[in-house]
Amino acid sequence: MGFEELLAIYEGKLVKEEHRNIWVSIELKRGEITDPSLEVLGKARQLADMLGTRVEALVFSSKREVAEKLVRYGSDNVYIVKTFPQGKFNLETYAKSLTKLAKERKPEIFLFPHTYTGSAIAALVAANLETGLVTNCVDLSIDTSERVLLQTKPIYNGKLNVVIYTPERKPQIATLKPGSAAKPFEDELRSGGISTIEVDPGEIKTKVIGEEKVKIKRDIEEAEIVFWGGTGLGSKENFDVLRRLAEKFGATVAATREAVEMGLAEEDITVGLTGKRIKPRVCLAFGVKGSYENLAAVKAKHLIAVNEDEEDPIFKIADLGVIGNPSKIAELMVKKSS
Amino acid sequence: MILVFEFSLSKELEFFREVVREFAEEEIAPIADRIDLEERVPMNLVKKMCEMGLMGVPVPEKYGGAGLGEMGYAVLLEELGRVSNSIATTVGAHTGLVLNPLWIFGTEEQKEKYLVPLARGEKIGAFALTEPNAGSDAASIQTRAVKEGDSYVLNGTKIFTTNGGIADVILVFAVTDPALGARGGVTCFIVEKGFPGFKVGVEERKLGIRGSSTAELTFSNCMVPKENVLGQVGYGFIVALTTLDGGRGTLSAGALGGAQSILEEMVKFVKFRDATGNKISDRQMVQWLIADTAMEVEAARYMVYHTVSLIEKYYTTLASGKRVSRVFREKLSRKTAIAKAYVSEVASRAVERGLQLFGATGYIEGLGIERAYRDSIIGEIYEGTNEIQRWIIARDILERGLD
Amino acid sequence: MGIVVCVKAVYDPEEVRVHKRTMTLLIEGLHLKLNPLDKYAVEAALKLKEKWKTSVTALSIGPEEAEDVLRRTLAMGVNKAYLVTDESIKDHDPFLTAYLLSKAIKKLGDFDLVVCGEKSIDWENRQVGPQIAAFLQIPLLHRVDNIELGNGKVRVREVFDGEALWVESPLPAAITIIKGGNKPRFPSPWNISKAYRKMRVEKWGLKDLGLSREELKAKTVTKVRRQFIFERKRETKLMVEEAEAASDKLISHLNKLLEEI
Ligand SMILES: Cc1cc2nc3c(=O)[nH]c(=O)nc-3n(C[C@H](O)[C@H](O)[C@H](O)COP(=O)(O)OP(=O)(O)OC[C@H]3O[C@@H](n4cnc5c(N)ncnc54)[C@H](O)[C@@H]3O)c2cc1C
Repeated sequence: MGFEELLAIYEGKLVKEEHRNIWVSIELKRGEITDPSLEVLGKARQLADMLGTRVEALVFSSKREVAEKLVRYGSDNVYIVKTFPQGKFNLETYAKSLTKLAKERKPEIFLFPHTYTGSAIAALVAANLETGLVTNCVDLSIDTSERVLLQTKPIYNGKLNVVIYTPERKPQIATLKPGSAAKPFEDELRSGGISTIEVDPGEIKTKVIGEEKVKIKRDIEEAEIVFWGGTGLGSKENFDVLRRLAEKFGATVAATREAVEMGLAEEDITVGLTGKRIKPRVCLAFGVKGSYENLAAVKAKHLIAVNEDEEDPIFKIADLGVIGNPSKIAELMVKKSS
Repeated sequence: MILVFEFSLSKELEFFREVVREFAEEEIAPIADRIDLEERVPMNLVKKMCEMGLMGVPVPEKYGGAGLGEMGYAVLLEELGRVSNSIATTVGAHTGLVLNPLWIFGTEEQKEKYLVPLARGEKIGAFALTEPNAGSDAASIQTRAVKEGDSYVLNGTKIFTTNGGIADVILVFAVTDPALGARGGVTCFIVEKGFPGFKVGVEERKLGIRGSSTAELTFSNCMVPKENVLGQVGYGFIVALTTLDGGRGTLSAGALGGAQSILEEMVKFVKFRDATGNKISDRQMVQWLIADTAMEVEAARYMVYHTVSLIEKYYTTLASGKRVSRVFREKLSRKTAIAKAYVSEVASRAVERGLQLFGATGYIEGLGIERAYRDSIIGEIYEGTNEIQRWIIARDILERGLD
Repeated sequence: MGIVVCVKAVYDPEEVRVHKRTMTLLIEGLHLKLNPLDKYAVEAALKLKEKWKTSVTALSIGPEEAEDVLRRTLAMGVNKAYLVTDESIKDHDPFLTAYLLSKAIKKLGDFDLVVCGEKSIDWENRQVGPQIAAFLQIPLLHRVDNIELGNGKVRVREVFDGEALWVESPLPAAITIIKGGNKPRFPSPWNISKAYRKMRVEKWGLKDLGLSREELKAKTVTKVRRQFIFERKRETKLMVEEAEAASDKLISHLNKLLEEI
């Protein structure tokens, strides 16, 4: 034990013995560990090294390969959680199981990827454990003098960032925004423990009774992801390629006024001052030059433009610009994403 | 001179504005250009507005309205004018020129029969005064109404009637006694579109506000029951002047909305140009276009809401059956003439500046600037041309003196 | 059968500015608005009200001025509106917000459904709805765009990343609403004047919830350490690559963005 830590104990600041370790809730998609989960794992690793504690990953899966992979990505310990009723994903089961485990095993910090499910489970667990939660964090760090987790989150569309901490309660729970931390490297030589734990979540009141694919919204004004085609696509056939691409990404298709006038698409999907106005999260523009008429109608969180001419105004405004032939790139993207 | 200025809108009206703005942005703005291009009243939209209750805003709840008064009506017109002057005009003619006179001058039976469905948005109204030989000089109208038994028989032609093509109920001004002329010889009639002898003639094609209906109406032996006289026989001019004295004041709120939208567009455009690399915001010429417009819009806004608060007082007093002093009426008439002429010109000047700033982007069709340019001018013409307003203002000042 | 819909009064992030020196929000002169998603929540509740002849109560925690936002829910058609307001309640702790809301819901009496918007546009916590469910110890139905009621049960469609689950739960339950279901109605001018002239927004202080300031403090689990501005200059990253490489990079970039919520 180092001098600092001794001093900390002296000052009563060291965490009470029973709360130790950083937990990471791992999400799977089609059996594979998602990138946001790995990013959280990487972040947890850094924090654990600062705190001199261990990283433990929890995953609802019985596959051993997944657990081994988690070890290679930085987990000191992996719990494969078995709960019942088995089968379909159920928010309530997951939340109750994790609550129970956390109550018994008392992690110091509990991290989740900030996804739809991750944030909901984190919220339920935090309320059940009567402790603090900060969601959508873009940064996590440790205040070593007080041994607390500093959680940074953007508010008001990122106009302001706040650093929040949970001073007294444990575990300190946070969800990490995807893309805010680097995905760690897979270290073949890393070793760690893997164990399976069974939890009885108690009474489960909700029941999944059906599943369906959600149809892509045709309502452009409400769409979260919009693929926007302009005259740069050149032909109706190329515009159809854009449609196919959109299908693959669950995006809604829009066209510029100029493209509609060229006959590439129908009137009712026009986005522009003379058409519909949109506020999507992601807007991918293929062959859109970016006139005032075009761009004044678009408020996208992320605007990506693919176009041939570097001088096009859209490149002044886009977050990411790709200089190249839009139809060709769209076509390749369709091929590669099937 | 006593200055009393109280203009903060009530929370209720602030909230009403928020809702109307959302409605206008979501339901009107996206189709405003199409409405103009198609050159007809967008009946689907009008139906939506009727159902939502936007067609009876100032009228008391008792008569099917929302009871938000002239101030509420001005808020509505400003927000509608901000996105489409065609729509503001349609609502304005129905509300300011039909609901208000029915509310002020109608009998209880007339209110029950006409005002209630009109205010609920189940029916649409029009106001027919202008004739081929009687525009500014409304006193020379020639449409005749002759009493026959329990009815009046109307003969004549009205032109430039807003909502003429879509109205169910039309207030028609006709001469009942040629000898008396404007001083007691004109009467206002409530005409239903189904009355025999009533016909809608040509729909005008126009420079602007193309999404509103401006029609010719003809009356050939059109029978109107005598219960449908609004006010009293011979009171037609009082009805018309009371209506126009107020109506032109609230209507200026629509022009204010038009000017406001141009100001907003100018700012957006300059920011866009800055962002795309062609910085123009540091040019003094650009700054002045914005500053001049902002100054005038600011002055116009104070003027509009101050004037409208007087109109509200005027109308509620009249509707409650009380008399309004001559001094107040004269003062109101001057003030609404000032607001009407000034604000409509502010709107026109704003668009001119906007066009200058936008250059070709504004000149081409489809971005709203060119449309606003055509749409703004009507404010200087209808409900009394600005020349007539200046005449009213000057005459009143020279007769009554400055305040 | 009763429905409680929880709504938040927010400042529009587009309108809010930040004071660069003090790192505080400049909200003077701005109007609080009904959180956009909460409009969908109110609409969902009203649809149920019309179909099942139940009553809908709107509930909010916020400053005094939030009263106007509750008026909006009244104008949309909810039967009653309550505002929990107290100077000592801080905005930053969603745990506390959820706790207070659950207290207030209990005080309102019997209910079958609690409906919330999935998130608010100011802090984007996505936390209050689920935590109300936890505090009331009732099931959470999350990210719902479709609700059916019947036989003392509720069936909803939950939407996660392009996939939807139909979930059944006994009543009472808590539901968080996402866009996509029903477009919120515009309050009519008739209802606006009714909401302002004939209806009341009931106000509750801490005492009405049976809480003291000390208890409030004890339920405030997080603290703000500091606030700062991270100014990201909007700059375009330009990519000049062969089509092959460009398409690969675009796909992975898109996939990254799609993981954000
Ligand atoms: C789109 C539109 C909608 C309309 N809607 C309606 C409606 O709903 N109901 C209705 O009754 N009417 C309506 N009008 C008619 C409108 O009110 C008249 O056009 C207006 O009053 C002017 O009359 P005028 O066009 O006959 O012009 P005139 O009276 O012939 O005027 C011609 C010119 O002479 C000037 N002038 C005339 N007299 C004087 C004077 N004494 N002193 C100084 N200058 C003078 C005028 O200002 C103008 O510049 C509408 C008109 C339009 C274009």
